[in-house]
Amino acid sequence: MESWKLARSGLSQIVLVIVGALIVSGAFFVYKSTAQSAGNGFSVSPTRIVIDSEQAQPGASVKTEEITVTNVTSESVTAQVDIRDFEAGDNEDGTPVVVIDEDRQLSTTIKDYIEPIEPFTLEPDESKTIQATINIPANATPVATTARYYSPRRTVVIRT
Amino acid sequence: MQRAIVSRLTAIATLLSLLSFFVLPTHAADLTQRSVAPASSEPLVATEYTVEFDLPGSSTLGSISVLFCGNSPLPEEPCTPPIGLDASGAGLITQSGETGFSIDGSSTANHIILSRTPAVTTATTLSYEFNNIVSPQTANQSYYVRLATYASIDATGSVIDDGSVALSTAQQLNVSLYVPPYLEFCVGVSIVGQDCTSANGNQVNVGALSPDATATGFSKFLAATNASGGYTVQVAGTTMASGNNVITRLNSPASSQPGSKQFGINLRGNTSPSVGLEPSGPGTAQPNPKYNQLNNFAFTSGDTVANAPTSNDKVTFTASYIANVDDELPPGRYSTTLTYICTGSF
Repeated sequence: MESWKLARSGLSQIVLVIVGALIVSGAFFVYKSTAQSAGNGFSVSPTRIVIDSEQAQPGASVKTEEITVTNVTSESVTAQVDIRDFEAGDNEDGTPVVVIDEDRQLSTTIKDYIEPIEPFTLEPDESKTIQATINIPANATPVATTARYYSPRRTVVIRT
Repeated sequence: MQRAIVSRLTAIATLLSLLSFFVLPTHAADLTQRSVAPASSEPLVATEYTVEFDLPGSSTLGSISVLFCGNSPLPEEPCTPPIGLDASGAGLITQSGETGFSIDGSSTANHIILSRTPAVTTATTLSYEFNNIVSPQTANQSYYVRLATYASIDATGSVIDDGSVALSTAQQLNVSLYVPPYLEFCVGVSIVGQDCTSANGNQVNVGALSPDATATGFSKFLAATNASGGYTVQVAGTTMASGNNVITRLNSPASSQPGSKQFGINLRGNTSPSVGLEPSGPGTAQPNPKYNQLNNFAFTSGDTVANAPTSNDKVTFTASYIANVDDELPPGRYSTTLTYICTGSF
């Protein structure tokens, strides 16, 4: 319901996401210890960016507000920035769910509109501000009667 | 002769007495403990002014003069009105000590005259609050208020007591603070307390897999946000596999059964098998019900494993992993990469 309302209002949203990955391994009849490396973690601010339809005109190039990424761990980390779709969760309470399957493409996707952001390394407690640039094709057409719009829901994923 | 001298001395004394009466200036007593306090020192804004002073003694009081000057506090000098100051719309909103005053109609833009029926004073400390006085227009500009009391009702005639106060407008310094919404998330095999700087390790080794016992391991993640929508944490990945050989994932919560192929996780402090810890920290975020069942485990890629419906302080979750195998599973190194995804909700 929430995403439908947002789409109807012509708002485009970018949700900032932090990802941490772990390898789980075990050996069947074979045991091998594995050296541990540092954990990973970030703080991002803001957690959501809303771009209204006045900005997101066909043919426009929209820069988001600055996104501050901070390394909250005690080791240096290299941040990769992924662009992923997200959709409403099953309970429709406004909980966004990141689309994990890279082969699954939402009809509303604008992943290709967002310029890639180069990886960057942060020392402990170091922050960096980044901006996403959204290049909206001149022939993009809003469809306001459904949840489709040319940029309804997008996710910037910060990961190591 | 002596009589003539006495007569002349008397005449001189009388003359001196008359000279002193006509030539020496009259000196009014000082109003003590005097102050004029504007509610705001911001230039060119209408604000409240509170005028207070102590009377040095009892006297007949019919009017009080409050004169704003831009050039000098000295009553002997001409008064230049401060530029921008405007008291023509002032109102007397409170009065204490000597009361019964109202603003006299002869008041001007820089001169407020309080008037009442003359009466002998009984109070010592007098206080009058005015509103709607526009302060001078320039920041950091000095100006003065000359106060005087009179027996007359219109601030004419002899001054009973007087005194002046210096004031200044001031450059306004606005201090504001914006607290941006943030989302903090860290992952490690170990996290001490709720401190991401202690996050360490990214490989969980569940050890040797055996049909006779459950292999276990755990990792931790910490999340916090001040965003009103809270956050969700998803897990993504595959079950443990070695080439084409896989350990079947538990699609729905189930207990650990050694001897059958199972891979699952939950976020509880389990007793069978003994693995994991309950969520800890000042926040109130909870595991998703599917992953919040003691001694029951499940795993589906993309599932939400924990969430906080509102802004939430730090919570450290312990993700427990179990792996069971049967006799037929080919030997090898089984592994998977799990990704925890923390998203701000709205």
